Amino acid sequence: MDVSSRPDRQSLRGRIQHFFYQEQVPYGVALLRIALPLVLLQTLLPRWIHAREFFSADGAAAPLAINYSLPNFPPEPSGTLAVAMMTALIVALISACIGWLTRPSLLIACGLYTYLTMLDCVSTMTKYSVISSHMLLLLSLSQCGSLWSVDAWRKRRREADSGAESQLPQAFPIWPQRLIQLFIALVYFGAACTKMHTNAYFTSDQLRYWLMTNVNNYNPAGELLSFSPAIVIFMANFAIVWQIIFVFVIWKPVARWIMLAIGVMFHASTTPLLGLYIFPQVMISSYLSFVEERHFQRVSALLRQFWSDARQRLEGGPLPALWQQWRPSFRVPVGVTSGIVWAAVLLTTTVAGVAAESLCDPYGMRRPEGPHELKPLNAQVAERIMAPNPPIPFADRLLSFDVGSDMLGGVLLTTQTTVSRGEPFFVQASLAPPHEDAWLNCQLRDADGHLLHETGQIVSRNRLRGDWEFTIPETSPAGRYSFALQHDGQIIAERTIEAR
Amino acid sequence: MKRWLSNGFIVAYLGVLLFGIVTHALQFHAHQHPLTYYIVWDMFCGWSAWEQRTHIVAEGESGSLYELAPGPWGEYRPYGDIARHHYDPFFNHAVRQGVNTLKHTQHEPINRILVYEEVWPKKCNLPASLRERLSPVPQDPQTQFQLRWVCDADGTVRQRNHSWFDIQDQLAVSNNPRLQHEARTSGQRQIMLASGVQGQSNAAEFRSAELSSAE
Repeated sequence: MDVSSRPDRQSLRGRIQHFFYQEQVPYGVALLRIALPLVLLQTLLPRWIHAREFFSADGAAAPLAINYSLPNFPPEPSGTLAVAMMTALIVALISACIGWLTRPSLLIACGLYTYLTMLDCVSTMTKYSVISSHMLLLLSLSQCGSLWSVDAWRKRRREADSGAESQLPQAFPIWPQRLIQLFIALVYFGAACTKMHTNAYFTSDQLRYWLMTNVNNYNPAGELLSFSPAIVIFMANFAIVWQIIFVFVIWKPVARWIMLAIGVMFHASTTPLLGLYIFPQVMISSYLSFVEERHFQRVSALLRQFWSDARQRLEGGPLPALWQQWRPSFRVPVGVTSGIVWAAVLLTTTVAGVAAESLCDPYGMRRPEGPHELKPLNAQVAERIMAPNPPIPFADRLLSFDVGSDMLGGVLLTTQTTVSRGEPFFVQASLAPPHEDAWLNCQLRDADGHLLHETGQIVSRNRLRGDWEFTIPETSPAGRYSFALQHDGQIIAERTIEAR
Repeated sequence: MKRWLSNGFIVAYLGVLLFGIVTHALQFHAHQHPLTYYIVWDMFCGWSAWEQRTHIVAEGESGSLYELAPGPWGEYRPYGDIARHHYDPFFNHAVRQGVNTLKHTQHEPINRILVYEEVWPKKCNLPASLRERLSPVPQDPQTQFQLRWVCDADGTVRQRNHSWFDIQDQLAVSNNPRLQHEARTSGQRQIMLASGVQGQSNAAEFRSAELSSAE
């Protein structure tokens, strides 16, 4: 349904105009309008009961602006108002999802979501919430409610009642959808800039420690992957190249699907690797904005074919007869879905939400036995915080001590337990920052514990690794050898290898 | 008119996004204002080899210590298995969480709110089966505690200290006889400042002290 003017598409201006103002049925943004609220509701519904605590002056709001030395930005609402806004936000997202008064719903959702998330940078605001705010804003400017929505259904009903021929689905200028696409591409480009500023990203150190962290959900695959720096380095380099070229190649028909498929795999893998659930859902939902009219027509033709085949097979069976018998025949009056009803639902639900939260008494202030009492601090923790810190053993500053043959980006490609005599290999100590300048000794011993060779080096505080190259001469006997890492006269790590 | 408006929006929106990319790429005023958080894409920019947790503690007049976070009404775990107060890596919001808990509970008179940072090597997070693949095999972590804030019960700041990470960095630098000698000859007793804001301040100053530790 491309009705844009084509004659001047050779000129730059014409091409830009075509890019932004080409008219299409907004299938992509309609899908995004349905998906994004469903993702955000997963994060907002569990926070609803905590709205007073997280977002209001009657709680422990954590405004982002404090981290930027800017107080009272934005102003904090009272507890009741915060609960009302949180409830209205949830209603607005549900309403946007089903496409009922879509544009006002999205505008309300965008405003409230952005405002409330800015008030809790500790447990609500993250980059996925920022990305969602952008998408809610751009969706509110689009015609995403013109399809698969209560609004579209109402319009069809009105047209049917007036006897007019249905104009649905209608095409609109594509610019809001293009802005979402550009936005996603620029987010990736910006994320690539971040990686370029982080040296440790390219040596696997940053990612390995992220894979070991326990601040996100359970990530057993990530913990396992932290032992394969070579794979981490390969994935890191692949990801940055993908993020940089995304903005340039996503507009090419074939490259688009390859890039998006890689993106889906990349984001989906962050669930088992990093324990992220919402971020991948937000990003994968955002890819729906790349669905354009021609893609949808192709898919719907396939689905129609499939449906027609299935219907032929089903005809004569019991199900169609049952459907005809039980098919709902009621007609919802158009007035029931009007703006006034929508406003009434929003208002009533918000008031009901405030009342329900008050009944729940989240702080327990109105309990028969009175407010909660403070919990005594765990005795072990109390003892530890009062005692002076023990010295940090140097072993705690050492991540690993390994043997391997090849290096990639200064990191052992693989670790090994056997080496060939006469061939060089590396012994590497990986340190965990922050650490002081350290003199590290590496000792090679034979199976009987006799010292064969000893060498040391300074590992300065800005370095994360110390490595030594060894070769076991062919004249030496085959068998077991061991390496010991020594710091300040103490052996802090050992590795045993088999020389063949 | 409609076309002009949409043209204007497209140019303005893309301009703002590009501004964010450029300021971030050049690291020029990229973190000037909270709204820059909406246009700078620095996801997963930081990293640490040490796991960090927060303890917000109240000291009663009797000398008893109480846990202020999570509040006694229950905890919320926003992104995993740990409670909300652990997701404040710069400790800018911890005191307020403690004050809020005091406000909504019954308790003996409280002398002080103490905020501690706890750290341990991340390698100790690994399950036993994976820990054994490391050398040295990590033992149960001997965690380190660092007192970050000392406040009155109303949040008035009495003392504010550097983070454990800052202190480790400074120790690594200052453990140098030449630097120590130079510091002594210039009249300094020590190179490192172990604590930051000290002394009394009123509740209004609390906020500005809190802000001064911002990124």
